[in-house]
Amino acid sequence: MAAAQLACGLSLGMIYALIALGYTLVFGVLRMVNFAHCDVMMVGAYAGYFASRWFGWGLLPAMAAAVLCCALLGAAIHRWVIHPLERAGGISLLTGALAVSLILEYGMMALCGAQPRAFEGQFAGGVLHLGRLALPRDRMLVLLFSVAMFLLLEWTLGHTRAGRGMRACGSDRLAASLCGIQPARAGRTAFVLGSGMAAVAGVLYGGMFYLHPLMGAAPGLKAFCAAVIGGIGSIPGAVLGGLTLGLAETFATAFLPTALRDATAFLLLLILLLLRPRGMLGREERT
Amino acid sequence: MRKGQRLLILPLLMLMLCGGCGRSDAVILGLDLELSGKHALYGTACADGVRLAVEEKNAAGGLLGRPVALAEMDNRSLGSEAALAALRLEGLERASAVIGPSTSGTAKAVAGSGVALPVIVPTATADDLMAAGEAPIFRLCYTDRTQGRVMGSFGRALGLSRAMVITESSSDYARGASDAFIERFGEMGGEIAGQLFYPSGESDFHPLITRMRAERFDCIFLPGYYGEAGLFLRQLRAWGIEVPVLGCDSFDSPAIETIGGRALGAIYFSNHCDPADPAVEAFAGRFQARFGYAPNAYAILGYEAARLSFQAIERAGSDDPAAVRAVLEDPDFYYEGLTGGMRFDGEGNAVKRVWINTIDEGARYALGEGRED
Amino acid sequence: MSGRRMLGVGLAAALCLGAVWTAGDRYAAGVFCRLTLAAAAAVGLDLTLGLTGQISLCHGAFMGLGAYAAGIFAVRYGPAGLCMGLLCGMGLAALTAGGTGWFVLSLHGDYLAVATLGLGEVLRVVFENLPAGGGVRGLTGIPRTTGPLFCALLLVGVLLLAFRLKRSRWGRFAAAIGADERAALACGIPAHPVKVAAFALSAAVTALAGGLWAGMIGFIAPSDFAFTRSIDLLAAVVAGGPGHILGPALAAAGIEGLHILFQPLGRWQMLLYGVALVLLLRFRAGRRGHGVGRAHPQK
Repeated sequence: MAAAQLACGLSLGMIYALIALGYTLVFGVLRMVNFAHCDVMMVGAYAGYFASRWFGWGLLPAMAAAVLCCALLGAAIHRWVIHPLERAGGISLLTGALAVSLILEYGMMALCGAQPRAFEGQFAGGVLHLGRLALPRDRMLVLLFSVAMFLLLEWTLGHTRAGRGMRACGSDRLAASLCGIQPARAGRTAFVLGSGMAAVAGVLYGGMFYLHPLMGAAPGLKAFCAAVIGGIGSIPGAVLGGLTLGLAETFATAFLPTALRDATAFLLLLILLLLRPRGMLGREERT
Repeated sequence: MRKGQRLLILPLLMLMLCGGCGRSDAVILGLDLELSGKHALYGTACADGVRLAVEEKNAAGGLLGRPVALAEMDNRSLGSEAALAALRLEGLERASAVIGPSTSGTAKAVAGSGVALPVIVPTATADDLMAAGEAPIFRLCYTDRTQGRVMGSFGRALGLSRAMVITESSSDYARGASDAFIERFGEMGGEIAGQLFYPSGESDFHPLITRMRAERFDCIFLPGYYGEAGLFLRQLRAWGIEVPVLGCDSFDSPAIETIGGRALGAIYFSNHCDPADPAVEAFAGRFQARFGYAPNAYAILGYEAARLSFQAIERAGSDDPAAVRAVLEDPDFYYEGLTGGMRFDGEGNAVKRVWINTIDEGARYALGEGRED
Repeated sequence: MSGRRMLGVGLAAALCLGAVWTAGDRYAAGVFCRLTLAAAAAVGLDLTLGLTGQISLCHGAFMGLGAYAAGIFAVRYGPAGLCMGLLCGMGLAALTAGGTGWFVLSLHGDYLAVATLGLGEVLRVVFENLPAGGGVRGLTGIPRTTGPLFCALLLVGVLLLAFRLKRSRWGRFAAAIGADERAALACGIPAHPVKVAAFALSAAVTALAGGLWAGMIGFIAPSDFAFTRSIDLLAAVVAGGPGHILGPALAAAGIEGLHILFQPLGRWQMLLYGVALVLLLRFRAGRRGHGVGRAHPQK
């Protein structure tokens, strides 16, 4: 029983981690909370859905289409909302992201209607058998892609020029620009990259559950808490935070009155913020 | 900035003043529905049902010889907006009747808003709706309590003896139906193995299912909305738990199969109509052709609400809201539609049949009528 | 100074006139009340966001606290109970805000935003599980005692209070903290207590608006005071200019007005609202050219 709970918690956690990676990347570079991230994820899910429905593509091609779509969307959002608002300060950016969130959600609702849709066939369901263990295929995919994204991000930030530029901007924007790095470009790269990751998360999440214009809101909020718990701005922190939250929620469901389960994420968040604001793996906040 | 804001006020005033004009010829039906926000799922389906009814009516010559026009107000799934929309429909838009809202919370706000024109609520099932205020509400669906009791009796009639109840914690609909089910099932000799909750919008039920597996039960009662119910069923069946699942009218949507997958197992739910009825099938065909998706209970009841208001207006002979209200309050008022025949009781609740539906290998049909006793 | 005073008196007179004019028609009265209460709530948020520069994403929940307190008392004890409930709600909101603020306001910028987000959600769960408040079913049967005059007087009172505070010594402390907290500390200003006091006060004001809101609609549910409400308040303050008091009030009324204006547009309403918001934000950023608020310094 405990093993089953543990497996549940970890797999739930990986879903949160996959979404949290995007939040943490954008925060680390742009120093903003991107509340529109979960809605870009929703757009990615729909893109994958239409790709598989209209052209009959499988998982990987549909995901590629979704990534492309969201990358373009991310570039557009950065150009028309984020970049113009950067000089106006953090609160404006926050509100701008919230406004984009509304546009995406209700734009999609106006275009595609509010009725839920589901991916057909191959995305959903299926069980892999490893010896005595029966592992749901979709969870394994989430695990695979989360690890892949994590490694990709770590490599990009550590070993590419663009990545180093992003890290520099995240640390000290002024100094970075003095060194010849263009903060605007680094910011755009981070945003586009984050949007691409959101697309991956969206296709997988949509395949596991169902598609709806407001589908991003609930997991997005939780994943965001996960990112903060793990230390926002830290890539490994996003993964750690996701796993922690997943485990905490699963055990809360098991042992606490289930009516209060919803509050687990937020209580954990509050407690952590009070005790260790920078999160588990976050860096010391420099003003 | 101030200048810009001042400029906004002007068109607002103009819109409010001109709101009523330009439609003096038509009979106006007001819509106060959740077209955005968290219940947009239900409100938009309801609205589409109403729209189809209006289009068909206009194609057939209109109402009282005049075209029917819809004044659509989006209440964004918020009570305050719903109340204000109802007031606007009464005062500014001069509607003869209001259809909506489609969920209990918003409907209660309209009940307490103090409007005097008839409000036809298609799908809000809360037990305390009528007590929430004095607005003349006519409800087309039965209450949570009725559904819970019907399913409780049905469960016992099937020979089930130990039920696990799964309730959405933030939904008064789910809680009301669950409480009624627990009461009725117990009254008839059944046992409740336990009651577990999930937050709304939940997509991962594995922790809940894992906790459930520790208990012994031979059926599950899940009065949930079809999105979550579909996911729950899919995950439940993937774990190999094959017990029958009992639900309520919120199960009724083709999406439950798309989301839940083919192997839904044995499910039974209370519903408003018999899907195998040829009239219902014909309606479903027309709806699908017009809107591109198959109708669910919300769409059907929206359609019925519109047709009912047409009948009431025709019977009243005028589009004056007071006259329409008087017709609806008349105990002899009888409406026959896709969901069978119905009357209103003294409080405005519908007295109608409850069907027990099931889905078997993709075919939906009604097993028969459910009864509370 | 006299010019400003005349403007103030003129505004107050206009509000009272508006209240009397709309009192007859229920719809117009409803619109008026909503606009004024939204403005009052936004001024409440401005007291913390504008003055001390602290982001709060949970003011919707504070409004809910006020609404539930007033509602529960009013259902029990009638219209007299509403007044008791208003006071109780304000006190409760101030205590909650002050209590959590003491710990949470030492965080900066986005962390603070996140913490308040968490607090707002926790409060929502509390509302959903409150037996006296009807839980998820919502609270019905609140006597509708809030009239437009009541709301107009509230708004005038709140605006007066805010302007007074802003110009007082305490207000200058707050402004200094909002501009540059470290420098303020260096000047001997007790930053933390001032921030906490501002947060508590702003919560109380918003709760008062919430209590009257309950009396206006007659029915409240937890979803009325969820995150979207906080977003609306935040948008109003940001669009109106944090710290300008009158700006956020007008912006809030404008945003409510937009919602009312767009209501017949059905499903397009929220999309247009989002677009309008982005345009508004860009417009402000373009004109000002510098910080709307110092959530964290941009280097």
